[in-house]
Amino acid sequence: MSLPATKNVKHFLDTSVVRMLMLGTSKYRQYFAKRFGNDSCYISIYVEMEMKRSYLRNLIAFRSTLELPTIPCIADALSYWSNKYRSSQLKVIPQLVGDLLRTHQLDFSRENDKPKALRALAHYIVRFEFKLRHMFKDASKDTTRCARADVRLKVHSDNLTETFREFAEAFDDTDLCRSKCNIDHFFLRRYSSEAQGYVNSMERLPKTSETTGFIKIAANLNEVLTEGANACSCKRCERVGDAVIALDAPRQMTLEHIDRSFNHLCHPLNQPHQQHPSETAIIEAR
Amino acid sequence: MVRLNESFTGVSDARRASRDQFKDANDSSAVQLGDISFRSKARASSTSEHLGGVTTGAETSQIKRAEPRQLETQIATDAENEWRVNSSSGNLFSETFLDQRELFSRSIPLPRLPVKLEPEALRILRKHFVEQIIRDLRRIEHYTGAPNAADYAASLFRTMRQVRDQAPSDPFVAVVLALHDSLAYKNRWGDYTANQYEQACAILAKFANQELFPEKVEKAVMELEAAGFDTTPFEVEIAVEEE
Repeated sequence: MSLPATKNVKHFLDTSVVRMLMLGTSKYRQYFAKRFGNDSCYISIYVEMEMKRSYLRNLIAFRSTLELPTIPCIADALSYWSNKYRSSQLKVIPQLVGDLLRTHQLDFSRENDKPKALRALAHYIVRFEFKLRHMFKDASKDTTRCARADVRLKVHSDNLTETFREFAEAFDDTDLCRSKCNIDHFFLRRYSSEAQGYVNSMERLPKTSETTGFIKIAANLNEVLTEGANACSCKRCERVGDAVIALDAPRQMTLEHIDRSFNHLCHPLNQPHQQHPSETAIIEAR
Repeated sequence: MVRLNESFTGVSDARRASRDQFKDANDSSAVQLGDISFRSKARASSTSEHLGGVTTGAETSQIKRAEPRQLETQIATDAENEWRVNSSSGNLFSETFLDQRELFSRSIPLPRLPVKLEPEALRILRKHFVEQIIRDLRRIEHYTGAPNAADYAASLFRTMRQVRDQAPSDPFVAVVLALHDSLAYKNRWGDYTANQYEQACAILAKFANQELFPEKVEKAVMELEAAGFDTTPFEVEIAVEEE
């Protein structure tokens, strides 16, 4: 399955597309490369924050797990993580780390290889963050003023563990980040009529696989509109992230997404958008 | 080379096990166990051991032995496996060995301390490794698409991993590992063109001659990316909930 390539279109990428471009299988990456060609791809720092939250932060947590004195070798860290965490975002970490460390020819059961693994992983994390900032153009739009998005890796070349500790502490301090952001203003004032529109259309939609995602988002927005600023938190933002991205997308750009919820989120805004087939569909079609 | 002094003969099983572990961890570098305490003092001036070379008796004898008091809190580290050495008595084994139960307990790791080489040692190490890496890259470039290239790819990856293990405090490691990951993953070294290898050589040579601050490292990695090297090539099957 493939869609025709576009010409001279500015693509604004949702987090799901960014994730696939940076971590997807080579076939899926090729699909997007063909679709976007030489066009400019944009993201907002909110999307960057979602990548940090869903991927970078988890990689750092894995590295900290491996660093624990009670985890003697790589295999123990991988099995601990695999047995403990089952969500789709967390399950990808052992896959990726396994590939990375096999590429470094490390013995997963050898205790002496643990420091080497920590180094290889640390450099990969730093590099991933570099690439996330440079691979896409900045759409220069984030009316949420997300403070978590501003948390950067400040690299101390001689102490990468400290680099990650500082990042993790700042990124996890959601109370402080929430106190600095404008998400309440975003939903309750700037886009309040659009948010109310989503809630109204939720009530008219049948619950199908096509609408489930949108209905969940709209239900959360309903709570925000009902309870006010107190209902706004980083956790809530995680649940309504697609709405934030759709509402804040530059209207002159095409919002590229995989999730179905955007079909319902973009339509009332007249936001140009394009849903892409899933990775499975692309692989099966070839 | 590992040279054991006389005091090591007839040690207990625990010590022997530990010695094997130590030997294993240091198989690529010259270590003289009985003299670690004062050799470490002279580490900055003796780069041959970092380069995996052989330390001669003559070289060792030139190093002035320091007073035990001066070394009480001194830390000696090795690129592979760090060992704390308290050399106040001059006998490594009588002072620093752990209780046998601790040696075999998996929950108590060996002390790990950051390796910190002197700038001059780092500079020499970097020059040494970069020369080897560029030599192999040039050969791969020459044999692009030919089976012979595999010989140089193997040598290249070996050297790059040595950089990771022997000069971890050099910021240049980040640049080397970026190239390593892009070439080594799924044997992609065979997919890159001669022109890309040439660009890789130019980028390594350019940044090897600079003091690398984090911003410079970032620039070097992004130059590799611009040359077409995917420095984060790892693929995962992400179960996207298309909701």
